[in-house]
Amino acid sequence: MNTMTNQQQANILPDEWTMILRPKRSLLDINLRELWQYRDLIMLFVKRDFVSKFKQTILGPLWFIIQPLLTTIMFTIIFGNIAGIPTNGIPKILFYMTGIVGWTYFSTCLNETSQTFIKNASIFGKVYFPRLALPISVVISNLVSFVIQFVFLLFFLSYFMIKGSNVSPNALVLWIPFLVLLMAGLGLGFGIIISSLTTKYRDLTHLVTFGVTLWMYATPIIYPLSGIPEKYRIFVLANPMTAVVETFKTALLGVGQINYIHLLYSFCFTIVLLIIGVIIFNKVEKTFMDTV
Amino acid sequence: MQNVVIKLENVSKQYRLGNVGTGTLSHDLNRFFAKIVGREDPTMKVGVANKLDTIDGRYVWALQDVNLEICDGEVLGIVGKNGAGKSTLLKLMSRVTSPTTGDIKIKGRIASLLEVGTGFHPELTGKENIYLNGAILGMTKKEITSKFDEIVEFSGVKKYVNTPVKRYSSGMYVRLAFAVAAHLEPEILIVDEVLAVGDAEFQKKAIGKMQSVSRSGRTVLFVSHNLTAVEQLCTKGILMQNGTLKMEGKVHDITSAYKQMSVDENELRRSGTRVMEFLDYKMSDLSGKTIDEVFLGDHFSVTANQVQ
Repeated sequence: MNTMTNQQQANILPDEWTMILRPKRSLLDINLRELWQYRDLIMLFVKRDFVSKFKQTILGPLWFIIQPLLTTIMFTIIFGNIAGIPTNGIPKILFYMTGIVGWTYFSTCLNETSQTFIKNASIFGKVYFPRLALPISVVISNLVSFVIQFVFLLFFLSYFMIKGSNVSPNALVLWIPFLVLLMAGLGLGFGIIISSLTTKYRDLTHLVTFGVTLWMYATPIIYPLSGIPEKYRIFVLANPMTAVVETFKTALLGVGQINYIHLLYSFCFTIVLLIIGVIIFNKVEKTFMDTV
Repeated sequence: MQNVVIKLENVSKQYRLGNVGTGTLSHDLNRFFAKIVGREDPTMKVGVANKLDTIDGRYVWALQDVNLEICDGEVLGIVGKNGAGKSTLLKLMSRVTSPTTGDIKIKGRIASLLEVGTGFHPELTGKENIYLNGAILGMTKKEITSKFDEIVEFSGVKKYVNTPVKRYSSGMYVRLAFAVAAHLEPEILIVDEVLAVGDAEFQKKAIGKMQSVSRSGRTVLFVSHNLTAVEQLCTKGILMQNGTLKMEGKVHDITSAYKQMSVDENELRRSGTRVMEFLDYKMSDLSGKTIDEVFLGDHFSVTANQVQ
């Protein structure tokens, strides 16, 4: 009996391996199935981020709203009142808040994913799980804070509408999920590129926060796109986030410029960026533990 | 013919010594430009030999041409001195890093325990950490929920399961971390010297759990310096030395070879003026029995044969 089973076993191809670990790996391989298998882990990382942010704090989740609110107030005073930058007739607070809520999602995604490898080097060195799980969990947990801020923004919007301001949200709001996806893609793409580079060059992390702040000024958040003189507009438009933020504002406030070509440009930029990011990430992933 | 579940073919792992590059982008760029232009490397240390390769390009082979086949149900003990390449071997099999050359073929799910408490977050409660740690080690949420009570029972921290782990004592922490890992149910389990932590009672419990895991037919790879534990748990052993697989065979053969290795090394290190030279020595306790370990406070005697 036993010999027969052994015989059968020998006839099953002994080379049906579950996994083969090799030095190199195809550059574009993402292994989405594995990421799906680890979905519980991704959600637990999201939960961990939330819980650890607010344990033993008084204000807890209120911080999600306080931060953009304080930034809005500061922008209103400095750029709106003191500097006198025009807002195309929209109440200043609303103008800035919309831009900020849109921008915050992108900037937090970028800042947090660019730290992935360094911050979590200790876990990565001890156990295997798909490395992309961490940046993805960052994108998801920031999405939750974005939703909270967005709802808050809607309250503000309805308040102003009731008061009779000339803001008119329109059908373009249907684009918003797509815009959020674009922002996630851009943040994730840049984040994983920077993260892969920082395993070797630690000083890039300092550049990132600084760079993101500068980037904000290059995007129409504090000013409307129409406020830029024609000859400089091409530079602002080269920024993939411009079309995203501008569409976001136009959708909610009714004033602004929409150009589907620009959106298409942002979309293509995001796709190319993600591809490059995945390639660099894959190259680094297998052996970054040796140098991080 | 038994089922082979892990097969290592010509596996080698190379590490670079020293800092990789200079560590900062600006310095590396500086060095790169200087190389192009033909100037001297501006980041080179003064007074050290010139070649770039010798300063920052030194390599070491942590593992060299390892060929190994592990069959289903085996409990393999991996022994060797510090630096022999044991942990590197485990890291490769756990996918933490990838081999420089060679292939590793695996059949079945692997779970590794290279450190207790991987991913534990101090702010989360014991319960939340059980879920997080279990998921990091590869369990699904459903699995963890079904085993939750067993895990808490095994770790003995039932009262504290809803307190943040930063307030646990180190013993509780280790017990909880091991409890989660002990309830993994992979086909292949890899354990790296984690039994070295914890008090005697915990060690007994841990070894007992490892025994039941191996008895349930799973393949286990076990690295330890505790040769008694290795002999207790393992069916087969391998001896690593300087990155190569020195010997493979029955557990007792391997542990004797390992002990012999340490002795041989010591013998080679003899030095002195030979005014007096000893051939061998023996430590015995007061009843005359030969021992090789003495506990603090015990009485012992040493007998040595002198060269005539």
